[in-house]
Amino acid sequence: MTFEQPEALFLALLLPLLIWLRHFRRARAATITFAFAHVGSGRFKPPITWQAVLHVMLDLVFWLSLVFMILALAAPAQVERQKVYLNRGIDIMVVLDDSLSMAAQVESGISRFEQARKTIKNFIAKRENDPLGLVSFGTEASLALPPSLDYEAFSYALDDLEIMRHGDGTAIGIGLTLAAVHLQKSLAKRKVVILVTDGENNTGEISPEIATELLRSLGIVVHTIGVGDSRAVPLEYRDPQTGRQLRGIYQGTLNQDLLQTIAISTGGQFFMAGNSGSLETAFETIDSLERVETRIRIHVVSSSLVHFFVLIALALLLVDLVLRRLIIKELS
Amino acid sequence: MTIESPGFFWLLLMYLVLVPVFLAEYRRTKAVLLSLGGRWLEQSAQNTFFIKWFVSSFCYFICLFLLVLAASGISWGERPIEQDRRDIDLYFVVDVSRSMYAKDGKVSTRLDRARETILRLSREIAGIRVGLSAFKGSSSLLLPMTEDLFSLENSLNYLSPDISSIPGSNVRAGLEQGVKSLSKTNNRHQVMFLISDGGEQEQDLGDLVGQIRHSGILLLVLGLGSDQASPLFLENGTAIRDRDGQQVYSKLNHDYLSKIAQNADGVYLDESTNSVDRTILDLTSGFQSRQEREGFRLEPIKRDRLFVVLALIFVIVGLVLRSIRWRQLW
Repeated sequence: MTFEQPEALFLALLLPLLIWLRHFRRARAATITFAFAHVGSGRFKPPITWQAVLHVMLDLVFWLSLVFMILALAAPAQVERQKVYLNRGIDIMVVLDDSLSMAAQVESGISRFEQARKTIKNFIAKRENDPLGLVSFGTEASLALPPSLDYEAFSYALDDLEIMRHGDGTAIGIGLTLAAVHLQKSLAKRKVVILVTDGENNTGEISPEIATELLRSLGIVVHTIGVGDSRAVPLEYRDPQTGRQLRGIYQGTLNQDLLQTIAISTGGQFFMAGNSGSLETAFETIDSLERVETRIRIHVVSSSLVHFFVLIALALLLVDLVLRRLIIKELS
Repeated sequence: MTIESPGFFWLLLMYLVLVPVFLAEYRRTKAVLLSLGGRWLEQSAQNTFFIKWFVSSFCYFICLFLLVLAASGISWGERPIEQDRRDIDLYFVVDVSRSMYAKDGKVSTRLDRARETILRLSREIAGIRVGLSAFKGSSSLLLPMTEDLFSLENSLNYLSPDISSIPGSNVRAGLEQGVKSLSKTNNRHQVMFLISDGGEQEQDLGDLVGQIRHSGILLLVLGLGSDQASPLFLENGTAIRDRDGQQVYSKLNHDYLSKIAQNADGVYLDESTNSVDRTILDLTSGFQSRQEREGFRLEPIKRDRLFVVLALIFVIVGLVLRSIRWRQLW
């Protein structure tokens, strides 16, 4: 919080004078002088009663209300410095395989799908001005989020993805084509697709080769990440609809040649991610590859807090004016 | 002159308590004064006491009144705020309450007409980003700001009362969602387009529309429906009935929607307006080109601190009047 008109705080210098006038001036109003014939030593001390305590508290409340008025005059404000990007970033579409094989475990209790989700979240945390979109695919594909700067919505959409939502197949061609459709009208100078899959294209009406050609013609770069390897690994999957649990050993094949071809022909790179560390490294590499010069301006946005201080001053003054007359019954 | 939070004027009801309390104080203090001074206390002294009490009490009352004015966010006049924005973010906030199923004597429902309007507009404005949220009793984000118009077309299919189980027509929730989504970008012109029939409620949106105005968001409000009550039907054609079995009717809450637009310095249109699309396109492009040409936007000047200064002066005067002994008496 800052004060936009701090010079108003000098008004607080008036307070000692006013306090003296009201409480300490000898000839102040509403006071009656009594002569005490005091027997014994020491000065007269008035007894401490609850009224006396309340009286002091109400005095405090009154002066606090004046303090808050002075603070309000100093224009308190919440200041936020926002980055304004003067150029646009890269449009990035993440295309994530959600077929059953993605339930295979990379580490104890962590599936390839979960690991990919976690790594993608780490990746988006490092981006600032790049619209991010999300496509998931199995036998079919669907757009979870179009390219958007709303990273909160991206994160929500990512969390919402489920294994087997689009069937058990792996239609890489359809997933890539869907990404291309939603990137084709983008005005971004650079458009990128990150394909994360652990399988071989085994279904879909659009072949990966045709999809690659489409992406290439649209000037979209595709980075491909092959998750897992050919070793047998445990697989666990619970169907969220039926609650049915599947357990077994999965040994799948990853068509590295295909992924490599897609990447090379579109100007991207292929990454092999056999474990969680290498998946993380793949995304870090893409993060460093896909950078554009960013021009920013700092925009200062201030939200006035004056009315909060005014309301506090009003409440305090009301409390003082009413209680002083209703309870203390001070002569004034 | 605009008032951001007129609801604070309810605080003026405090005078119903304060006036009797102060009058009781006057009577009590005067009685004490008379008992101390005796019957010899002259009339002029009593008058002095009355004047002192009256003027100081008046000062306190005025101070409280000015503080209420300060809290209510009164503003008048405008000042230029530097702004470097390009292109337009157009955020649609659509009412999906059951009343949007009314046809108003037309072939399509209000909701269908809302979909058509959104599609037409998004195709006609070049280089825009669009976003979409729907509200009923609560609000749901259907599409974050994006350039992808295919996604907008897809998202429009999800506009349905089934999107939320909470009944009602919570315009506030819808507008809040819009402000939240638009606030994530600050280098583009921001236009929020509320499409609703207004429902039957009269939520106080003073603070929210004030925020919209302050943020430089142009609020366009399109009222769907007519002054003639129209029966409501479900999608399958079944008439919607209330608990007493009476068929439910709905009409356009023209006053409520136009008030929202007016308070946000926006523009209200309804279906009877000639060439709604043309008017909206002109407004949007005019808003954009004016701000780009001039490089600034006008922001209302809040006068809250002026009222606080006056309040402080009055409370100090009241304090000094009470603290100084008049005629060496009281």
